[in-house]
Amino acid sequence: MSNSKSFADYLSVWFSDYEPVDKNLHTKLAFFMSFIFIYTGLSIQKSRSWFFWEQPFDSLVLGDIFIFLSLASFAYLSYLYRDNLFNNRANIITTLFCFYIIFNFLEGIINFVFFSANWEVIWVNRRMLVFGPFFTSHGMEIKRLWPPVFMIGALFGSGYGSLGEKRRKFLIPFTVFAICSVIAATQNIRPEGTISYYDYHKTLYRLLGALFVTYASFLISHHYYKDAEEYQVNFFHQILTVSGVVIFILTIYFLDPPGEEGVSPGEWGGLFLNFILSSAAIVLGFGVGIALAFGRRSSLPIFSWPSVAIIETVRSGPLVAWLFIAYILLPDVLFPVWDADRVSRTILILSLFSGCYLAEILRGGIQAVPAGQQEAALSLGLSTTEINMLIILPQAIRTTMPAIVSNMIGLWKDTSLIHLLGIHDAFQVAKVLPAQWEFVGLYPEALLFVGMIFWIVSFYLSKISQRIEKSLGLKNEGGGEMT
Amino acid sequence: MSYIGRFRDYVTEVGKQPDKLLFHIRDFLFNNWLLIIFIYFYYRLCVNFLRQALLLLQDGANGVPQFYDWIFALTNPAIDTLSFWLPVLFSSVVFSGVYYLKSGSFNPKESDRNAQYLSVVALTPFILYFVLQLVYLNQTDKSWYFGLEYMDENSGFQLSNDWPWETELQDSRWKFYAVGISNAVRVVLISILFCTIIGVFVGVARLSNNLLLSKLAEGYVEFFRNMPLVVQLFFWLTILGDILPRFNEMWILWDWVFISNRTIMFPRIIVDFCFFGSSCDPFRNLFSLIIVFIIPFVVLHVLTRRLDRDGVDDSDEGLRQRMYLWVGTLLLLSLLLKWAVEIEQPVLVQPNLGYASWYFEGGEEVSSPFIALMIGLTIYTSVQVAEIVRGSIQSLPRGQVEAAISLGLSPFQRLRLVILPQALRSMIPPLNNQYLNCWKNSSLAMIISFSDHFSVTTTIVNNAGQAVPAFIMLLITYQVGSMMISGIMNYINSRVTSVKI
Repeated sequence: MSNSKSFADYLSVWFSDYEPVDKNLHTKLAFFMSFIFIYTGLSIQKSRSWFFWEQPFDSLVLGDIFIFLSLASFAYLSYLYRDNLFNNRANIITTLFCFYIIFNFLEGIINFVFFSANWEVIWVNRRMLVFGPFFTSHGMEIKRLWPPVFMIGALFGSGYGSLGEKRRKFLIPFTVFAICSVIAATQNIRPEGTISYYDYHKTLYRLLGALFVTYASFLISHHYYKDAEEYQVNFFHQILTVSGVVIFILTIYFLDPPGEEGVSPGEWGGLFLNFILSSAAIVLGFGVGIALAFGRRSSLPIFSWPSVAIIETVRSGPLVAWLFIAYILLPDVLFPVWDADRVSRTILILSLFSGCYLAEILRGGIQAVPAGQQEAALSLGLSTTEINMLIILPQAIRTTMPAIVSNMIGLWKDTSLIHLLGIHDAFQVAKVLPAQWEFVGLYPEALLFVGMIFWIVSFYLSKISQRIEKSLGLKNEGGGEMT
Repeated sequence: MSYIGRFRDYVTEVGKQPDKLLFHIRDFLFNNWLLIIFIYFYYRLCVNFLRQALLLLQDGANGVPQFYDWIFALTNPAIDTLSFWLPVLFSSVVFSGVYYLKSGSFNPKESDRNAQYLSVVALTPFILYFVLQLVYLNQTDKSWYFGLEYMDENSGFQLSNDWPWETELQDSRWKFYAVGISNAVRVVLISILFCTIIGVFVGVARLSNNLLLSKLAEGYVEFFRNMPLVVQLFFWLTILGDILPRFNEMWILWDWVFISNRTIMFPRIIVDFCFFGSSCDPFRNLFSLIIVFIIPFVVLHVLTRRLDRDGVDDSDEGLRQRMYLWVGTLLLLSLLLKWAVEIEQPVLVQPNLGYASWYFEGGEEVSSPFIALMIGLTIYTSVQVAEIVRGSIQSLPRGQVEAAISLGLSPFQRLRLVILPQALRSMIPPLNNQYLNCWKNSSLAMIISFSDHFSVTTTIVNNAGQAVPAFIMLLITYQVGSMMISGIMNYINSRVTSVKI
């Protein structure tokens, strides 16, 4: 070791090796304080007066001082992590460089989100973003959406409750969501004095009912499955999966009941449509994927050749090309037997597309299942279908779970492509909103908002996939740490 | 015992105790409810598809005399009868077949063969319908006609990004398609190059000891990985429109580069390597530029082979000879370039004060959709590359790094000599996948109005109305591009993994 003291050593001499009890808490606090300081400084710079005194000196200078104060909390952070950040010269340079980037980025983001952006465009059009332009027009039967909301709430709550986690892990985020949704639903869309067809009393009662159902189902299932055996939880999860599919079919039934005048799929829109499309494509695509994967593996040419042809053809082109084919050519083929609307055709093509990618993923998993499993099952006298469905498929799904979830994430992101077919999904609405005369040119706000919604859902899915990986013991903890 | 005999026995048994029949029916329904529901839907589908298939075999259906020279044409009474009885027949055959298969067999091979026959029977109505419908469409619908004559016609539109070709209204659609392909290839090649560089840096930075750096890299990855590419492309386009100056306030860099939100002008490299002194078209210029780059290195290669014919000489004398060779090659290259290449400066022509009348003479134009697509594709793919790099570095055995540390290698040497060469071996197959994704994602150029071959195809489909051959050609183009990328990557993979460790 060298004799000269490093910068970190000097720091620790000045602070006499102070170590906080809870390092993580202090890290969060320091970030929060720097956030507050930057926000305050920027707000002083933007405003004319500051609290009770009338601009004692130039507000720009005062703002700069506050922003400068945020550096103090960053300094505290760098003291906390001095062994990582300041242990040699290369690290010091890297740290300063990264700090410069992060500080500028943070300041720019706070400036955009709280000061320069005009979020009115989102707030006024929030119903359109969620349900699309057709649902929001007068006379459209938005009441048809409520039974699905109740059922999905019950499913979501009971599913989360059976995971056996602490209650606050669900209750806190969900309460935040509940408060936000109540505020968003009860505030009147139009300013006072104008005619609005929006009855927010009725909406409030129904929303509160749905939230109550979710809370209750969460608490009940948490009470029963807190300390339950694993087989009981698995059985409950199977019931939930089946009821999820049933709820999906019921949702479509409630929205567009046959023989009655409902809301046809062509009039769906917004974020809600993105959810419906992606979940439908995931469910149907899973079936397609399993069929194609086993078809490709099959020794019977009647199954293997068509599956290979379908998989390779579909995978050769980009999704956009297939969507255009669904838009232009599919009606010609299907029209005599089924007058399918755009949304149904999109679901068909999306599920075929994701199914083909899923088939390739599953094929890898099936090939990784040891041959002894199949031989043992054969010797037990199971038929080919039983071997595939009961022995091989569960093991294949288990090993390929991360790839399947990332396929789902890709599908969820790809639903933003359907705006090319003239369907008013969330992205299309975000593209059109800045054409309103009050909000001309507010593209960054609309795009970032919708993009962040897509981001949150896929981030949440990827976190779930990481947890599944960990719980299945698939996470490969290798070495190879750098520098 | 035969099935008929079994059935006869069953009937006599029921005749003795008729009240058992109800229980048998109940048990049958309870045990086979899923099969019954399936057969109900199968029957409904069969009715629909077979009815339409039979109608297609009718003489003069839909006012079109179709299949006129066929031996038979169905009449209306025949269609009515058949469309009632055929679905019943198919459903009962499928029902009894599935029931028989479900009851199990001790010979897996036989049951597999039966499953094959059964699925052929079950799919017959649908295949029949699709085949007949496709034949009908091919005869009656223009967009299902499989000829490529429309590609020779005049295109009737113009492209904004047509470097290195120049397109005119009179050009055939083939040329426009070629320009589209060259545009897409240009963007994809640039993106692949930059995404690999950025991805390796970010992937290594995520594993850094420096907490700030690794968190920064993680934030970059998480942000751009979970944001849809469409949103990113649109965002970059709007951002470019915001930050670039207006045309009358354009940024001019030393009279060579002109940046504005209408166009971005770069100096054009004009290669004049024609032996007979005539000016060449751009394609031949590009070709000769490639030749100019290849000649010195071919000479270098030949001379190095001569030098190394008795093994590599790494004495001072040998190294000096090698250095002379390289210096000579670079001199030759620069001489050839000086001779061959001319750089044309873009000139801003201002006929009057109104900037609507201003235009450029010479120079190379780069549009902002091109830059937006390049940035978007690069960032989106670099994130995936970063994850691949991180994963393959993490999958290395820990002992490799420890051995490198114990040898006293510096962090950079560890990375350069020990970790990256080994990680590269497991990196290339997933990288291939990501490059393919990049190539396919370039089709999103259409939504930011950059004219790659996909958007050219959609315009052609709108103008010419022949969708099927156009889409088949599009799919073949994407497939050929994918095969070329994976061919190159497989070659690299075989080179990298040829040495076993």
